[in-house]
Amino acid sequence: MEDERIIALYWRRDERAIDETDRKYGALCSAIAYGILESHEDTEECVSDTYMAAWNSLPPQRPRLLRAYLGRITRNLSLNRLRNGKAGKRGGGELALIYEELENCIAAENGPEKHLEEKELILAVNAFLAGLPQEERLMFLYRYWLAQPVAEIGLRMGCKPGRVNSALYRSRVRLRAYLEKEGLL
Amino acid sequence: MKAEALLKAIGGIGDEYVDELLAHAEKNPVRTSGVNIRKTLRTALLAAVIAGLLALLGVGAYAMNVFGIKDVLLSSDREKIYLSRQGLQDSREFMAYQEFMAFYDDYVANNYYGDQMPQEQDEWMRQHEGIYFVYTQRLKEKLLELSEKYSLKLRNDVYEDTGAQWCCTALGLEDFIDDPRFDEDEAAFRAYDDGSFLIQIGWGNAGGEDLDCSITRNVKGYFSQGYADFDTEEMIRQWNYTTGKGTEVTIFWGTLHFYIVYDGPEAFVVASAARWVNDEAFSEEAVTAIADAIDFETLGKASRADLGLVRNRPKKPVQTDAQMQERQQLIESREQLALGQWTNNYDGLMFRVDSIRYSTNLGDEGWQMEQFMQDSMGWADGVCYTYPDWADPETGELKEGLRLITVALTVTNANTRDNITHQTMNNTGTNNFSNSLLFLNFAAVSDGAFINETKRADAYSGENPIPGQTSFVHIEPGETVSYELAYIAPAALENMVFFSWDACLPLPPVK
Repeated sequence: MEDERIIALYWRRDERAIDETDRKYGALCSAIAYGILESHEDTEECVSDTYMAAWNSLPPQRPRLLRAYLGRITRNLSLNRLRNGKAGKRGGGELALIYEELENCIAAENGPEKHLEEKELILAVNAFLAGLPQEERLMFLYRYWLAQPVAEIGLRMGCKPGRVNSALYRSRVRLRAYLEKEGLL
Repeated sequence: MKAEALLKAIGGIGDEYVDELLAHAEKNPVRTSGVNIRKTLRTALLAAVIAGLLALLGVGAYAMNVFGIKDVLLSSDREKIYLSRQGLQDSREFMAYQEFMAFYDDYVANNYYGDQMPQEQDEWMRQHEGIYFVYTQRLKEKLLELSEKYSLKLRNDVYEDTGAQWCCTALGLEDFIDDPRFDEDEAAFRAYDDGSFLIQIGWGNAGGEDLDCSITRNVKGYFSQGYADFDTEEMIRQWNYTTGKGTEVTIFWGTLHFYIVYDGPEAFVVASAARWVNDEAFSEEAVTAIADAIDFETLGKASRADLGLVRNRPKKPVQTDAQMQERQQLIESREQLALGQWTNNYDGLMFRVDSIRYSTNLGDEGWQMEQFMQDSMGWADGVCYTYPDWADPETGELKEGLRLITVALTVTNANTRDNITHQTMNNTGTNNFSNSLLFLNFAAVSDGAFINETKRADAYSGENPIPGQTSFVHIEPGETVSYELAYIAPAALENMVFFSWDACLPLPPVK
């Protein structure tokens, strides 16, 4: 079913909205949640919470891109679940690596750390992404938005993990350079 | 700065990047436990549910048939068990809808068999919108084929409103709910010309809790759609129950849903509810309290439907203050514009509203009837006029109580490169932008009825690639175009707002 019709079902408070959402985006939301939580049980709960959040927010929201809207909710709920210690089995492995990679990317070499407004940082990341070639942007987001392991990113992008690692390293160097140039580091 | 902050900022990137990523992920799945876990888990859960059911019933593998689930089971998948609202499994109504469901599932799962989507709605589809859930020619043909195959008649009219008493008036029914906890005025219903209905009711403190319940009555001999469902994870109990009014019904009771069914001589009646917020099952007291309050026997008999008895009645405002407040919050959440000019951050479009003009005749502003969307509608004095009834086709004069609002826009595509990946809702190609993102909102009490409508443009002065549905504007990077949008709106209202996702512009008062 097209997104516009699914959204219309939400707006009419028709429970088929949940079914149609699940039919179309259930697998995707599960993949996002599992990538972060690495737990079947937590994934199920998180996806259910995503549908509940969608039910409660549509209306008044009427997202232009339902896939992105649901994906964002799932990601945020998954990360919140980890942060709040609600996840039964902390999906730590991949996320710990990701934290480490980002920590190394932005560590302050001199002087105190800067405290930035979240909006300022989001704008900077958006501008940085706009300047990346599409392939590198996808790899970067698979890694840092979807928390995917490097090997899986390679399978999705049709290349070897070594190439993904190289591209991610380049992107992190560019990101650091960009943030420095903008005076954010 | 910590990695946490950066990870959070990455989470806040623009929708276009998120959608680009997720579209790629969907097209390039990886067969790992992470992606397919849902299916694996659901299969295991389904097995557990069946095992649990059998254990609960304390009998062998055929217990479900004996205890009656099979009699109302339309279908099931890894996640849901779908139960009939049409009739028992050997009825024509059940078989027709079961076959339609199977067709629909296969059709959607197979990319609509290559059919163009979306499609222009023909006259039959427009007339039956709200009656039957069909939005392609192939779905319509299937529905017509099945109604003929099973010798079922079709419904041709529907009326939606609130207030259980009006549902009774339209369908010639006595009050069918006898319980002071049932909020009669708040009940929203949809009544059909064959005497069938769906009503959504709030039940205060039924068996110690508040709950929302749906009651459907589907008259036999007519094609109907819709189902009740249970999650496969739910432990379902089922028993026959004699209500306080002496009618024997069957109750299915799960963790998250219940389903009460009565197979009457002329109609099949179902009461059901879903639990959305907490994990505790409905109490048995709540379920039996609802079964006791509904007069299933009355609903199972024939009655004479006359939707005209209630269609044009004056309406009373319902929760006007709360609704107005909710609407006001929606508007206030957007940036108010002083000059009528804003940039759409998402698409990189710069909008300027050049003028807003009011008229009561299409010709005054150069519009023609053919330019209007065929799902357009106008609301005046509590009556909703659908295309083309809102105007005189000969003179272009609008019905009394309606007015035409023409919004002249200048739009600049401020992007420096082609817009390909943004895929704004219904974007069909490079640098195409949808007018469906520019809305008119009005809210007020008119003739005693509360109106809160958000509508897309009813007409667009440029070309329309999919007539009758959504209009697009093609703007190359750096290019500026001017065009007009038209909206049909109530003449009496002053508090209208023109808005997009980013900003809104209150309309000037009528001079």
